[in-house]
Amino acid sequence: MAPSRDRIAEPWGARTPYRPGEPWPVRVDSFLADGVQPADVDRWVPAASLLHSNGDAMDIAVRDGRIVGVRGRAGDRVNRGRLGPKDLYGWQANSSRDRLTEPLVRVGGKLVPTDWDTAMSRIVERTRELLDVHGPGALGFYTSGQLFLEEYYTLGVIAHAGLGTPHLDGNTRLCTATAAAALKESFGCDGQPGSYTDIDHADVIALFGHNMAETQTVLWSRVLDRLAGTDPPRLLCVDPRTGPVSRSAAVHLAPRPGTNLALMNGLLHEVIAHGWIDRDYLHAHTVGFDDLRAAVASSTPEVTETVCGVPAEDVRRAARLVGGARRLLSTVLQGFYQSHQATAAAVQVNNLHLLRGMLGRPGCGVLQMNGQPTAENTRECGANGDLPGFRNWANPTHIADLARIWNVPPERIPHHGPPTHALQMMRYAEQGSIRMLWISGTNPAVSLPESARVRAVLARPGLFTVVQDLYLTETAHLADVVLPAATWGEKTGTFTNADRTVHLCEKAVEPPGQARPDLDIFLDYATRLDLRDRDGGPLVAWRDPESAYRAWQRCSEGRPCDYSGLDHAVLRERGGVQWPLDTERLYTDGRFFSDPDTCESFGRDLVTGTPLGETAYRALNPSGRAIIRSAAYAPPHEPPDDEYPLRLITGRTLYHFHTRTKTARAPQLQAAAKEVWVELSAADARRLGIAEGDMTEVATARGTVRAAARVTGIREGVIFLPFHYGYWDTPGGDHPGGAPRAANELTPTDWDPVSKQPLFKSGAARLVRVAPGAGPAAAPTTAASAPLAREVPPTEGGRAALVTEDLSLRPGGSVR
Amino acid sequence: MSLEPLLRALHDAEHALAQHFEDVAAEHRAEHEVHHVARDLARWSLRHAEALAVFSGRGVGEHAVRRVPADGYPHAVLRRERRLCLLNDLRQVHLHATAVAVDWEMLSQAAQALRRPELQRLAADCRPETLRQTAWAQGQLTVLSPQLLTVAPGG
Repeated sequence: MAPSRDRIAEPWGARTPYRPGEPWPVRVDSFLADGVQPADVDRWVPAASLLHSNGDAMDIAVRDGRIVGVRGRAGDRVNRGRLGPKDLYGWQANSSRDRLTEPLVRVGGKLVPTDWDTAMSRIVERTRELLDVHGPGALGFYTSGQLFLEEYYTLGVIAHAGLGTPHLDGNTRLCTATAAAALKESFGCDGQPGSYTDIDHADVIALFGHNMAETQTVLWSRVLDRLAGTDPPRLLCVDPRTGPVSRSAAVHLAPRPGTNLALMNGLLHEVIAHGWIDRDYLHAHTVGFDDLRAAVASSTPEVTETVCGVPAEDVRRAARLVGGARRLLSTVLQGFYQSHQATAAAVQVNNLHLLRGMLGRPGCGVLQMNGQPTAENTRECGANGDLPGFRNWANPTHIADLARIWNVPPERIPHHGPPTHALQMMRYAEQGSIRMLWISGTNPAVSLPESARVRAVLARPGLFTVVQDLYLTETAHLADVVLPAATWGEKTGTFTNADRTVHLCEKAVEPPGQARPDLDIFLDYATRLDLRDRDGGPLVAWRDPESAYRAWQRCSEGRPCDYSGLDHAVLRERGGVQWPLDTERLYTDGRFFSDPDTCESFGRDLVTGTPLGETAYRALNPSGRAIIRSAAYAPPHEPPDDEYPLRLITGRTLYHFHTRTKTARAPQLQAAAKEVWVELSAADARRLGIAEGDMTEVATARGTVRAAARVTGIREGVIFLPFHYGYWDTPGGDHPGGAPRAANELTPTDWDPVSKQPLFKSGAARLVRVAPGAGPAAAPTTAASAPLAREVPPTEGGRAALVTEDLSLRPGGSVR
Repeated sequence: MSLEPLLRALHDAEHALAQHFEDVAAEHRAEHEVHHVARDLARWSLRHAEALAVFSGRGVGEHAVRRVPADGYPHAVLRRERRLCLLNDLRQVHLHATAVAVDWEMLSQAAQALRRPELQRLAADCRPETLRQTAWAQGQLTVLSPQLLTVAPGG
């Protein structure tokens, strides 16, 4: 019998140490419903994680037509059998009693049940009416980071080639837009350079604003296993909070929020000044080095200390660490992506690797991470404000190519500018020029900045809102039509993780009631609208996931994200496979997808965000090299002042995803982090007279939130709020009925001008104590929200959270 | 011949441009990107003005109060409708920055003729930023004008 472990209390499970260059050992995690034994399972159905971006492969256990558990896939390259807490327990949300099981329409101010035909007819009638009177610019589509590839691609074809609207984006705008933008700026094209296997080889791993221990627990297990083995890597952690990553790090830099670019310029200054650069690589494969050298010339460690509040000596130590690495792996996430000068800072991580010539070799890689499970696919399929196949909206040849594939006239595809990003769509809806907004698989009433404004926009009488989801979310409450959707385990499709690994995720059980796969809903819409190509044939000529996938394979063929070699048979046989077929790392030969005729983007001004245009790009980079782009630090837009003296940052916890729609319906996850909290430093707690567990009010110029205080190792002057908590499980339903608790009541509407990603980690705040606490805050003790106070009871899941960890298997499943 | 009159004019023009960007930012708070980036760009012009103060014979912060220059031909279409005033304001600030960029070009040429390397360096530092200011305003117009000009807002 394999040992079992409470994976709420120990999220990363048992150690399986390994040494550099060895394959990561297998450990198969499984969790079955109470009373179910493996022998009771009728079928195991292949799937992958849909509650974070790591792409962990698993099998869904099915018994009597119901999901009864999950088990990691031993042979998969991503997780080698391991699963994180959200995957182990999150599947229980599928059978939650409050799933939407029938369409709803608004009648006399109330949402009432109806049938599919009535609901879809309403949507189609409104679409036709708006197209006739106002044109395609009146229609907007806001999708998710949790649908499947086939669904994004289909939605993209409908919006771009069918209706001709440029207003299509995903909530991946909130999590991954800067990753895409930074890759485009440096390498001319989106596409993750590195591989998770770089962890197996690296001697230094630098995590820039990436709390990997909480956002990608299985990947962090991989790092922990290297740290526990012989010849472990050394870590650099850049994060204003403390936690498992900072405690494992050789150097921890905790900069002032909003100063990442200044910090990166300081690091690059030291790397260049000490000559830790690969001149041959720079000469052969890059343009722009002289500009960077000039741009960082004044960024000495002392200047960096002044701006970032990080000791100059620590800047030097960090620079020595990355400058002396033989095999450097860097990862980047929301600490950079959701902060001031997001893209400019993320690009400097790419520059670090270009300077050091450390790209495309084992252990030498960049991972510009994603936040959501299928974020990669919105980027690839053109559902995130890009065109499919990483095509360049400013390149007429690329538009003509798409028009040929879709068999439509090129002028039907809107390309007079970049596709509209989510926050701009909200602005158009606020002004009333977007009159219909179709929201699929996301919850903007809680997840977008400045909640009060977003609620007001969504509730505008002139805006017809369609919401397609699993539950009656805060956003669904405000909708005119609600469509019940099927989810993971109830439909088939593919999706791709942050290291380009594609998984086929198969249907295991029937969806509840009348709920339908998102793909079927979009196909029905296209059929009802009778969308045609230029020869009068159906524009969307596929009927199911496999034929939709084949259409995408044709669209992606010859582009960097080439899926043509990865058909369903290959994915079924091999499990997770990277695109392009059998390409572990991109840019192994120092060649990039950055030729002016190939590239996805001609680049943007890193400070103003202005597209630079083809002429400038051709002059800068005529022959397909990597581009070293630099930028000067500028102060954040909302610095602290007397009224709001603290810097507020928001983020996620290990146990929840997005707005908790699924994770709060999994009892073990909900119990681990059941209510909102606010983190503050011991120094600020003393100054403000706040003790662990005290009820506080957090205020910014936008609003207030009530939260219990958790005193942690966070940087002084900075406070942290988790963003998961909205109102669907409170009396308010879609708005604060009592004390507000959604972090976005407080966040400013401001975004990075390059990537258009909202800057959730910016803004000034005030914190006051309003009442004594009845005990410690309900914040997890396991990771970055760990309390300084010793008497706080540890977060545990108990018997209900026991997970089997089998260490006896080899890849392929044979017993050792 | 002295360059002082041109330097003074440029000094005043950069001050006015900084104010112009601040005005655009203040007028369009609800256009969040325009609001924030316009304020960032105002800072560039202030920095240019400060650098010019050394040469222009004016003190730092001492400048003629100038109104935003007229753009040659008034844009009746954009002015008529409230919702289009964003386009009008972006157009105005674009033209203003373009005028300043042209002045920098003239200064650079004259400095070269007079063998004034310190002024040449100044122009070489500032003019590219002025051009980025013009490009920003034009870029915003490129993105925003299709929606604002072709899709009427609702109630």
